Amino acid sequence: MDIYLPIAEMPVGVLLVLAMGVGVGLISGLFGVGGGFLMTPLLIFAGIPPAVAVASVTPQIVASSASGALAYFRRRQVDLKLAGILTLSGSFGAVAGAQLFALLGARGQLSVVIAISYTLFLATIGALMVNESVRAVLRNRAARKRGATPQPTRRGGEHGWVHRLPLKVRFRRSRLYISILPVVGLGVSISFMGTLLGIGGGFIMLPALIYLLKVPTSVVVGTSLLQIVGVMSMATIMHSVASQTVDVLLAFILMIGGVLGAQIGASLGQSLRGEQLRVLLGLLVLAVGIRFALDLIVEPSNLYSVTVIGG
Amino acid sequence: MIARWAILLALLVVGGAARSETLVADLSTDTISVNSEFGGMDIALFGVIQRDDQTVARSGRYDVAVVVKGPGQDVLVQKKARRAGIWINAEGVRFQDIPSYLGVFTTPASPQEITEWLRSAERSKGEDLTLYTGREGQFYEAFSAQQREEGLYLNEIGAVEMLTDRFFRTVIPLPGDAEHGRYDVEVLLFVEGVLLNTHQLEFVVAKVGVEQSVFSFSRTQPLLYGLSVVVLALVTGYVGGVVFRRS
Repeated sequence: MDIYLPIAEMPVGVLLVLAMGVGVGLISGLFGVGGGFLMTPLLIFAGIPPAVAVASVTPQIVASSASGALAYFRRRQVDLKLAGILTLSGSFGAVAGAQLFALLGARGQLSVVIAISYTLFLATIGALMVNESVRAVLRNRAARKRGATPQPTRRGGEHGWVHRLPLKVRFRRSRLYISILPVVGLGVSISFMGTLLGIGGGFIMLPALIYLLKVPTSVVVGTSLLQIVGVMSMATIMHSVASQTVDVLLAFILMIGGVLGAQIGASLGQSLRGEQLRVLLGLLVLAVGIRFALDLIVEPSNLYSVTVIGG
Repeated sequence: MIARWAILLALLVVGGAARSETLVADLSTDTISVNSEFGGMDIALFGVIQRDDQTVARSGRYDVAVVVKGPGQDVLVQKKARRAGIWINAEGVRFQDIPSYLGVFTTPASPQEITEWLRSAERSKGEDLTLYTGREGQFYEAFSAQQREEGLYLNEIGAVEMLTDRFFRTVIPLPGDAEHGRYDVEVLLFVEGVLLNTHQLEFVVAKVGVEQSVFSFSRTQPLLYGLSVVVLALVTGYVGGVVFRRS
């Protein structure tokens, strides 16, 4: 069954898009990530123009993060001040990202830039994740052999270079007194990339908050989710204005699929061990990165590409 | 639609044109409505070659060509080149106001003949067809190859069927992602390769209903549109969370 997308101006298979939504939702529920880094590539590989794919995944990320953010907010597991500063600085990143996105689109360089960014980004993150989590699995296995209890992964030194920067601000809920500069830096850079690539960036924001800023684990997930809702809402609005490629119907089908899939994934996730999940997630991220890399390295069968600039 | 054919037949019977041969043609529809179920459409074209009594019977056969041009668009065609080990879009050529749809449907003939027909038709209108030669030629070739693959550029020899020696029909297939706007249809009549007469028609592809409202909303009020999408996302996320927490 096909449905006509009003903004993309093309028919797509409803069941295909819904299945993608469920599939990615399942993965995001399973691993506790937003899934934008998988959803956008899947849509591009399925033939949706990259401009529409990126811009329509941003509202889907808002939907998939909203219920989680609300749940953490109700349990008071959110550092509102931290989330606020991240979102505010993120708004600048989103504006810049959407402007660059529209500019690249008009120049016919969007697909290549998206492919290069995804390759670098996913290959790096994927390799780090696999490396880190394989080590954790091995460490725990060795520890179990010795009869000791598994150790949690290290949290690093207490005071790095980040904590020596000026302009300190107190974050009561996180029990932190740190410089505002790395917070703003994280907010701007992650939302810039997120807006350009159609990803929430939770899987970079979380480690950054934990290892770099030493935000306690009790509030880190809720804070990151609330930040994603804020920044991706901003990104949706900016894309609607700058490149006008947000397809509300495509986004809505993805939202429905994503919400369904996330519930299934979350219940499946209960029965799997954490480190093994992280190895799997790392491999998945790596696989998508390699897929993009192949597109760049292998000589394309059709050397020419066509970009419609105006009607 | 029956009424349209009735008019056509009436014209055929009444005739009365002063020129030796005249063409009368009509389309099965002149408005294609794009709604949520739109996945492409076939438009039928029927036509009649009229000849008055004074006309000397010709020995040559009639040939008909139908040229359909979709709304013009500006496109950028780029060629990939390997730079620093990766394939990126390098050299590019911009084509302005190039038809988004180009269909040529003819009675059976050799490609050379058809090219000649179209040349003479262009010449009769004072247009120049020696477009896109030289370096741009390969870019134009690549563009039209992609359009052909998507069913937007068609070259259908033999697609115009003579039902009798004066009554013909053809089908104009329009794919689901056809551009919206006005399509110009030109019916050309030839005898022995000589252009005798032409007939102009047009049809419009337009979104209707919800699709149209959503599209124009996104273009006229982009800020409000973006806000509405965000609200929809927040509500969907919230409702999803509530529904699944209860069950």
